[in-house]
Amino acid sequence: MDLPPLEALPLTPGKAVAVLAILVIALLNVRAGRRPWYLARWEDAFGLVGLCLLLDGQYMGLVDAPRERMMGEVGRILYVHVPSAWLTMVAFTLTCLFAIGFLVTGWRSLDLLVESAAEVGVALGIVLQLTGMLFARPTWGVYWDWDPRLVSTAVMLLSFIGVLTLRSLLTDPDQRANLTSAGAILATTSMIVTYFSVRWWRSLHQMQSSPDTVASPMVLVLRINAFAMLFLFTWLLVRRWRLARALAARDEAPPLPSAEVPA
Amino acid sequence: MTPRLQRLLLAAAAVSVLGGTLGALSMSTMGEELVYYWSPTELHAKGDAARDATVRIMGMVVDGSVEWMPEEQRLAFRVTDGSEEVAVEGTGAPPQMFREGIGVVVEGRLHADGVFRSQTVMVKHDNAYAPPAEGEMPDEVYRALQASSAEGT
Amino acid sequence: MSPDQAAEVGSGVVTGGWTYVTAAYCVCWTVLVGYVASLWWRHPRGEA
Repeated sequence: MDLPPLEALPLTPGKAVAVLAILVIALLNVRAGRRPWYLARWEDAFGLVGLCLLLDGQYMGLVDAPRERMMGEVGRILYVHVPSAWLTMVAFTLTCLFAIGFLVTGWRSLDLLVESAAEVGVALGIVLQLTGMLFARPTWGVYWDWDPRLVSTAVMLLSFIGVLTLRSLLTDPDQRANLTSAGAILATTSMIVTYFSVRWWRSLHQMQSSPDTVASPMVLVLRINAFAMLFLFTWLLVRRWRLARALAARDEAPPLPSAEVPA
Repeated sequence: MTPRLQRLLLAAAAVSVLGGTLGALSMSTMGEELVYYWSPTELHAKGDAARDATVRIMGMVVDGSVEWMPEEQRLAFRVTDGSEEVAVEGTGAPPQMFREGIGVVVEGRLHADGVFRSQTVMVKHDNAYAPPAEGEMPDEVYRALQASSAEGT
Repeated sequence: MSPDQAAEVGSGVVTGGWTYVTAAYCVCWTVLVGYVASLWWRHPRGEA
């Protein structure tokens, strides 16, 4: 790759998108006469920051970061694989906490958050699983093997997909909320097993890396990508929650009284 | 039963199943019986029971034991767990990360002649990631290797 | 197996592999963009 390093660029991809986004949003709002862009939903700021960080972080991962000693260029997959693993874990941990919170308090919003966090977690988990397979082929030699880490990750994803499927099949709101939360807590077992699988059992997958085992220029790039994913995750979670609220409001809205309205 | 009590009971049940399963898993000896691979020592300890069954073994590639026969696409090397060694023969080229001293998981059978014959050689690397040392870029390492092997033949 | 690949057996160094890197970064973007699109698509119409 002959691209210049990020610090040599007058305008990094992330900054360029930030400036462009602010201009476009301001222009659209001025033309539409709507509320100004800075009063857009608060979570959109997280989304924009996440997007810009991800653009710069991945640019660093692809261009600035050094090649890995033994893995060469393929080591760059680390910068998508590891942050997606962290955020999948964050998503499912939150799912479990929301579920316990819902069962204790009975707050409707928490029920919707259980659904939202689980679904965003599944999306990130798919990134985790697929990037893992693409990382495994050139380094280990196989896309897949029946290794405890890989199997437990797949079981974890299927568990949460199962909970979401169960939820979509139930119609009674109270029963649906209770069973979703109970199911989410049970599915969390598979997440914790996934985390500890490399310690409890022999596996092909190596132990978790830490700043002690990763060289510092690589740790920096990993951190930027992790924060990018964290911001994007927050944005997706809140957006997904708003969707759940809008759908619930639509389903519960009384039928339009048009027929009864006197002429 | 009030809805609130029902929810609290559900929470208690779900959390105790979660805790119970994790506790049982972390204490259990399942990890010792249902293993992903055996070490060479364990393979030898099984004796005849290990023959003619497809198993995986894991070990470090012994220095100086690697023999690659490109014409026949055959690979021979030995793996060690520090105390015992197993001779392995594979077909086809191994993954690029394969080298002397690295961990490998091989899937195959132990034959009567004491050779473990395998179709699948997988590299088990550690969790350390580092850039190449000063003046040591991966493709230079590779070119140097190619040059030396060209001289040898 | 090409002769090139055979020649490097035992080097322990992965050469090339940009296809895998590109594929991994594309997977990340595809899933993220696809998920955002699904949020948009599933949103009930006629509402902010």
